[in-house]
Amino acid sequence: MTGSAHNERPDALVLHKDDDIAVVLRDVAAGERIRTLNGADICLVDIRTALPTGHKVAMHDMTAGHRVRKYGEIIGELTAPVVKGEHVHVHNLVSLRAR
Amino acid sequence: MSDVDGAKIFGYRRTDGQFGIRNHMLVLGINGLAARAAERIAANILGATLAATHAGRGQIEPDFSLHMNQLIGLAKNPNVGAVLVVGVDQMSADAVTARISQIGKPCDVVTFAETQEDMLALVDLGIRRAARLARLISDQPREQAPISELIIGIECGHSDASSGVAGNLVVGAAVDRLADLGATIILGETIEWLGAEHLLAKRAKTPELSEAIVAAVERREQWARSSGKSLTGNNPGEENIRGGLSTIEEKSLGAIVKSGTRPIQSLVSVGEKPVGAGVHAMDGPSFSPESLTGFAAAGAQIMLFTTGPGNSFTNAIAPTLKITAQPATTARLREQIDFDAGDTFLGVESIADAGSRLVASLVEVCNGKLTWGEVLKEGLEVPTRILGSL
Repeated sequence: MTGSAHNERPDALVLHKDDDIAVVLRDVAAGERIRTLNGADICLVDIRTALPTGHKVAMHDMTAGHRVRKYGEIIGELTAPVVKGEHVHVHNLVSLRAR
Repeated sequence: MSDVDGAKIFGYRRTDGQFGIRNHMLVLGINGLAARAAERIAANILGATLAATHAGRGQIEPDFSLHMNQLIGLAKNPNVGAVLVVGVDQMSADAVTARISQIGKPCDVVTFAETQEDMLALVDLGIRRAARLARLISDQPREQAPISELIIGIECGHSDASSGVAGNLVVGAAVDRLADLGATIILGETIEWLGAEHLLAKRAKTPELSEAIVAAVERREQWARSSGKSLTGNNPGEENIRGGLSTIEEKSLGAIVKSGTRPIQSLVSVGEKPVGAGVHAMDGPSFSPESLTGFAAAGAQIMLFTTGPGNSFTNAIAPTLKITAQPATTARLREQIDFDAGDTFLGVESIADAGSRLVASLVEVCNGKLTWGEVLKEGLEVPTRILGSL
């Protein structure tokens, strides 16, 4: 489900090619199909859980313990399995540091 | 070469050679017992700036020297034209006054000892002495200087997801330009390097500096860990979490991009003046009031401060430009946001273009344009402490 990017603003951004998540650029609702810019490509992602601007959506299914990347770097570890289109945040992602 | 590359700033040359962009009459309260009196003196002098500590007794090392160095550093900041020291006992007040006078800065002192603990008499004397100093410095003309005379503190407060993908990148682009023009830039907030320290370490000028950066983060991580509580909820805090940031690693990775891409020149301690052009790291607290005071004590004349949902706090001595890439914040906080980077978040302005605009805004503020924080008298100085008073 990819196509080439065009001038219209995407709904979400994958910030680095190694990233597991995209950052949504507006509030999105459950059930929406959003346009996610990944490099030069637009991927369509079906949103499972509503999420506000700036929050992270999973770009693929992941198991608990998976080390999640944003900006190409590890930002923490999943405490529960996550499926594509789901919200990744403090309820399922923890820091690996200072704990 | 664009306009900003040749931009000149106009400010105040000090007798010690430093260059200020403001000409503050500073009322420096050096003891919490005199904090209110210092406040009363400052309130009666046109344009006076207040820095009054709430500490000042019962301090042991290393807290004592850290605290004193910050107070002296604030007084020596080149944005300060003259200082009135407001103290309690004569000996410590005279010692502070002597350290400030050493660099040729006009400085006077008033103490509770002098008025035998009479607060109203102290305020009366203090107003008279501060008034003389204020009038003395009032006609110093502005002179021209290059951007390389600037020390710039960079900070973020209440970050959200727009910070790491837009706001801090705009500051980073400006920092690259400013560093190339010979300015000195200070990145602080050590705990917000955690999870991104390997990227800062890679930019360190020497292997020793690289190790020192990693060690500074480890020290604070150990400090946090030994408290027995996770950083989450504290850092990232409530506003960060609401804005989509989940972990300190994620926050740090988005935060350090405000330091741009140039090599890191040195690691300084709180209030220590960095030597030489380029980006320097300060091992200091991440709480903005204390972090900014550390920068000002190190001689910073101006601050670039990014925020997601807004953050009204500014430094008293160094004008603090509030920058956001969150369009809703700019719309909501008309009398807080000095620089709107929202078009970068909306994808209609490039980071580089916004960075150039930001350098131009910084030059305007150097040349006298007031920030919202200055107009609204938000500025405050809060020296950081190690443990508390005995």
